[in-house]
Amino acid sequence: MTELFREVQIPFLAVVLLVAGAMKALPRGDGRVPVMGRYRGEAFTLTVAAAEVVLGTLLLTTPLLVVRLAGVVFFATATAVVADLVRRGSEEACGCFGRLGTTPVGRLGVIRAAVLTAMAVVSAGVPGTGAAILGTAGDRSLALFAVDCMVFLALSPEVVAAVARIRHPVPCELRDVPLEATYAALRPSTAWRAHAASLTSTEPSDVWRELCHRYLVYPAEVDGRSVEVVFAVPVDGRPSAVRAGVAWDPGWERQDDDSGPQRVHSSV
Amino acid sequence: MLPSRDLMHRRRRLRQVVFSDPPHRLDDDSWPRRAIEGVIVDASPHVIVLARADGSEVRLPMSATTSIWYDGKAELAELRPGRRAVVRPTDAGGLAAERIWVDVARVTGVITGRVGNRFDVDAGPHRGQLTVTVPDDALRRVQVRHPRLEPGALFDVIGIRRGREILGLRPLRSSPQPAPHAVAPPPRRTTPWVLRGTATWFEDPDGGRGAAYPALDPHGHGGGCGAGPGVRLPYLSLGSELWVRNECTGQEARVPIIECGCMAARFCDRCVRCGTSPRGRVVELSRSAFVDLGGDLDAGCFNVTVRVDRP
Repeated sequence: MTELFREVQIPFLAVVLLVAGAMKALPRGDGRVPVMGRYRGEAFTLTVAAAEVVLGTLLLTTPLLVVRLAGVVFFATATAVVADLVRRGSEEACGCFGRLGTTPVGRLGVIRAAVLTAMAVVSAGVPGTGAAILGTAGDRSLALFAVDCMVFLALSPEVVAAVARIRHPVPCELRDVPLEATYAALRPSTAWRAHAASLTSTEPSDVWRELCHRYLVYPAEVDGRSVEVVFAVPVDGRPSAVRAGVAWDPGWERQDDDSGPQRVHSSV
Repeated sequence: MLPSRDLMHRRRRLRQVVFSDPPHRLDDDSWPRRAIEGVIVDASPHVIVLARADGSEVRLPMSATTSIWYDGKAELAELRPGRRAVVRPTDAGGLAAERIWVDVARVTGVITGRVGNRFDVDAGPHRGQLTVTVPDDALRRVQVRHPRLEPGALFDVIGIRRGREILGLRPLRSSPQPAPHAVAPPPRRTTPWVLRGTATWFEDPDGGRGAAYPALDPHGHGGGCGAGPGVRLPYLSLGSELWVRNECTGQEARVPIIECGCMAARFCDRCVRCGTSPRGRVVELSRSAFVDLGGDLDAGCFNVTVRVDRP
């Protein structure tokens, strides 16, 4: 059983390295997530990603002791760097898994790196290659592999943060929502379609937010008169809940005829 | 960008177009009292004459109970022509002076440089760089609350303004107890947000009545200044209205947001004016608004309840 446990660590570590390398190399919308706060350069991130992919591939394809030792050194170094980030009280993500998580590194991240180092140490002397071990894996090996995965996920700050977010969702009033999300909710809405033809500009003249709504004001023309169309877009992004109204010039005390939409007038 | 009061009215009008919430006016008489700011023109034992920014002159009767502050409790002699004064009228609704602060100044920010007893302080993107001198005899007193007087450290002192110079005399960081800004969300989405914490004051160069709020929307025209995700307060914008209640005096008023309170977000102290405030600085009030709501400028803070109504 002990031997089986040691064997399973080789393909597991290889998979971890390959996933980490791939996630670091893949850019997010606004660029790659940098590895470690102080090494902001993209070249460094790509170098680390390449090293991980090479090491992961070698773990799968060769039983050389020097490769195993390189794995031990790699994970031990990662543990030391993450521990240093935590010791300095940094609130930056370690970027260990690139785009998969930007959660600030914490003690859990150090424990995870240390566990991976321990796995690399105990499996250093295993004779077979990772691919061979996977090829001959039985039910017990797969079960151990699954246990490894579960322990790894339980120690991942990104997963813990995601679970916490699901259990205690951030109220919409506290959520920072970019303008793009607001436009994405506004454009498909019925309210937008109802007023789009009367708008005289594609850019809003005023955009502000109060609690769970973002207000967008567009200049428009109704019955030859300049008006403003106000859209109230919920920040949690439901196009069906977008509301709209037409703001007439407050100086007009009365509307001259019954044509056009109903005037909404504020006394202020 | 429109002046803050016009912006508040415009946005309220536009919001009502969508939500048709019951209209209400922010009338001048909704304030409990009206603080008066101006330059002292003349002062006698019975009356003080102030020249206001709009050019008008105000004569305010004084009595034996009128309290004067000029680096502590001061005498009538400190009411010298040319000095700036903030006067709080009596509760009775008349225009008699109850309290007078002379040349009062406050510097809140992060120290960026120090040469001897002169400190350069970054007061935030709206208030810019300020220079404050802490006299030798006040330095020890200031260091009680600010033991690290070096670049990067937070700084909050009250003092007096002498010409272009500010003398920092007393620390205003009330309590070293850390206080989070985070607030618990209301139980239902239909109930208003209620924030309980500390209100401090700041000098608005235009003498406006309003509030600086830490969590303004950083997108669009919200006026946000990047207070950071650590401040768990509901997002609002310039021109939004807060219902502010001084828990020490019971006075309350509807106050428009006129500035981003990014500095308030950095302080994690509590006010101990009337009991310990449950949380840190949730709002900064302009000097006039602070005095209107019964705050004492020399005390620097009061415990506050801020309500944000939903549309």
